[in-house]
Amino acid sequence: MKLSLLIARRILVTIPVLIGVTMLTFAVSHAIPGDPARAFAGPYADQATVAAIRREWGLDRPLVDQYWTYLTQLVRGNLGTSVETHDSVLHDILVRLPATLELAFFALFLMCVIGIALGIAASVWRDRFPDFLARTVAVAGAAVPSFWLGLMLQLLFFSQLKWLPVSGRLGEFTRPPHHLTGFYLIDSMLTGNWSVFADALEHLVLPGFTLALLGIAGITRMTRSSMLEVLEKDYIRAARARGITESNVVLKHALRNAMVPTVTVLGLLFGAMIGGAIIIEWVFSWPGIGTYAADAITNLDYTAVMGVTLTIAVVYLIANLLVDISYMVLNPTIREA
Amino acid sequence: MDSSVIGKVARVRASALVATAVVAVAAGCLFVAAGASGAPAGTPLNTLVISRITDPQSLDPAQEVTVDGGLETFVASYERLFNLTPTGKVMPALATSWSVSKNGLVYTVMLRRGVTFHDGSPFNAAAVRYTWQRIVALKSAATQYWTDVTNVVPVGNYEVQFHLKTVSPIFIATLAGERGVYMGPSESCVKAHATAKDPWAATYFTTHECGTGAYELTSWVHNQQLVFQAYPKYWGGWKGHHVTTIIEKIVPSPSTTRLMLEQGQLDLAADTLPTNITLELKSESGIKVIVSPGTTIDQISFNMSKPPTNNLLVRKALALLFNYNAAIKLAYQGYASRAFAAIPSTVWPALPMSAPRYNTNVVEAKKLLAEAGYSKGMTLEFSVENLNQWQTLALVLQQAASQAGIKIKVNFSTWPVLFAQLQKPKGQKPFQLAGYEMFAAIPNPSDILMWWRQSADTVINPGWGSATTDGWINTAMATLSQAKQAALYQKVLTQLNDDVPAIWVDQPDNLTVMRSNVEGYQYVPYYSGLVNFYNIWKS
Repeated sequence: MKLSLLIARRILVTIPVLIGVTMLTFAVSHAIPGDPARAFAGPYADQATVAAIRREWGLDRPLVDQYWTYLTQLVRGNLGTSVETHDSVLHDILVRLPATLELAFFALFLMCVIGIALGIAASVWRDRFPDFLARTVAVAGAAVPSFWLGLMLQLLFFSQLKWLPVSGRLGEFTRPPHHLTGFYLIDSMLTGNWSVFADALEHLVLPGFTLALLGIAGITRMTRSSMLEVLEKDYIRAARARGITESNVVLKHALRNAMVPTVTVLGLLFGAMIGGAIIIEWVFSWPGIGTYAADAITNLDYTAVMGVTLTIAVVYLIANLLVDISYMVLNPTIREA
Repeated sequence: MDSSVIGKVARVRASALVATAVVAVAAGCLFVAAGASGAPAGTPLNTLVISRITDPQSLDPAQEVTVDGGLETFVASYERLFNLTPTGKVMPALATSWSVSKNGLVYTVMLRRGVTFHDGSPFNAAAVRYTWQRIVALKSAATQYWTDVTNVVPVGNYEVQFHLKTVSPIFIATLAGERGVYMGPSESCVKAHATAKDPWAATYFTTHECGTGAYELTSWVHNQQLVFQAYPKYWGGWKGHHVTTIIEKIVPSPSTTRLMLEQGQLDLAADTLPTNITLELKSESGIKVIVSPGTTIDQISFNMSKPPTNNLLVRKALALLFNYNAAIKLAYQGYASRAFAAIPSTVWPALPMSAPRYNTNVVEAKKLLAEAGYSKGMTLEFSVENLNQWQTLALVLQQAASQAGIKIKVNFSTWPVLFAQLQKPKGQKPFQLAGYEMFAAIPNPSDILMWWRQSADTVINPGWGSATTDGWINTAMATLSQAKQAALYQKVLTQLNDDVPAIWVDQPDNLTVMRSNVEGYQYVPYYSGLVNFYNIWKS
């Protein structure tokens, strides 16, 4: 089957999933006790004002009607108005999403480089020091709670060594780069603003590493086990017998075939990172959708909660779609199957 | 060459590649760190860097009246007609003096001359009227503070009259209060940003300001920081000690705030930190903590429409079981005082000396429970917000009640969920006890006691009151004489004390943490969480 057809089929499959997500988040949000109209109006507003808002938002109508209105508005790109910010939820998310994505991509980069490298090292030196080190990192990464790790890194690199900042995306005296993508690293690079680039990179290191550690553990373990399996295959023995250098055997022949399960994990981890960034963003004052989601949950801002949930679901689905496409690129037999 | 040797060499190459990748990442981080400006020694002397837990929701004083929603931020740019001192005395601000007509329905206010808004337009009587017109037209949160006003009439450029529909002894105090009474934005600013759909520029002023205050907003990166610069034409002038730049950083995590204070990256934590962190910081060099009495009361209300808390004996027994000293020691490390009435001790009048005080008395409590027919104990539902101090107070309540065989089932929730429970009509509230704070924003008992009226559109009253008590409160709220008000409010306090619709637990102190070189900070209890930026400087 053609790659484009496969991709189209995968995209079509995501539509019912998205509808399912909207139904679930809508039902859960409306099951929580609380009055969004009262929350929007504030505790001192009179009943008439609250009733007017309830009417305006359609909260006095049956749930099915409300859900249908929500869906039709969603199709038009309207995610509703936030009770907290009094602004469009879509706007709120678009303002904050680049910060979260930049953090997640940076963490993904660290996960790939460190996790895959440790996984390869562990498989090449099985049961020796590098393997022991990689397994230790994997266990520690999975066992250490990210909020604790974040606090420890803050204590070490900010409080003791005074090397790295702990709060926000930029220092208080640095102006953000001209907005092109919302990613400070990219925007500052494109505009040649290298001092801002360095400042943004400094601010990314601690939250990025904290977010990446759990992924590093998973990637290391997955790469190690896949590599060990692949390195035992006949075609690897054949490659060695043909006199191909070991580095080529490991990095070209073995790694490519061992990457399929790793790529699967990467896709899932990326989606999970967007949702899991809440605690990291809170600890490091990172202005992304994690902080927005936490505020929305605390303040029962259900339109914002639904908007964030939907955004995370979309990111998750896109990540999975990309994983599927990379499968097909890495292993053409999957496409043929 | 031997194949095993070839293999070894190749493995070394592969390992070198792997090692290079790991080292590259580590080196990248270290390279960044080496040139890092991550933790500078301290902030510049002319700059005040403060932390806030959340990003402001709106900077429009007509739309935002909550402290954590934006009020704490826009006070840098907007001003009131009057201010309050820590003792509750009304002081001039944009107004210089006031007088009231004999019938108490017209207040004449003289305005300060030479004041300009940040767009350069003059502040005058017309601007006061325009502020009122905008608030009323927007029908937003600030409207509730102007319900008594029927008209605002300029009498010349710097004299304005407020016409009231009823006598209001708290009118001037309200104008000096923390919510809904800020002057601006200016008419010219509003008109410059108005649209056909939004004639009062409500959307624009959510993220912009145009006040008369000492500082102008120069940048706002959402959820990161707001920067304010001194307004050169500020009427107060810039002689003496002031900072020229204010940076408000959004730092949600108290532990991060603590590290930043310790390292000198923050000058002041404007939102209250957990007591344990505050007290640990207190003992560190370079940091000071200012302790001031607050005007907040921690209150555990009884649902008087639901058994067994509809029984006076049960309510009295619970008030006698509660361990007040333990609550103050554990929840506030001693930084709170006992509350003996529905209003804080910083607000007049006091509960009459003849009224009984509820102190811990387990023997008496058990006797009352036996009299009420509950000697074998019972289970009570306690709804409370999931905050540090309330977690501790709930534990204290559980422990105290267990001495009489009473099991307290605690339901922690967020404020909106608790608020929804409180809001339910009488008989449908899903708890026997609910814990929350009451705060006096003006130095008048009506600010709290009005919520105890039966007729009030309120969620606070758990079912207490009668036509008589409503009459006392309503009469006091329409009486200009403070002595007459005090007498009536004392009757209300005495009746509340007799009926025990709540346990008044404590009155926490306010603890503000800052660097030792921050000078001029003064806590005003009626402006909880607000900082008077203009008076602050750094030594």
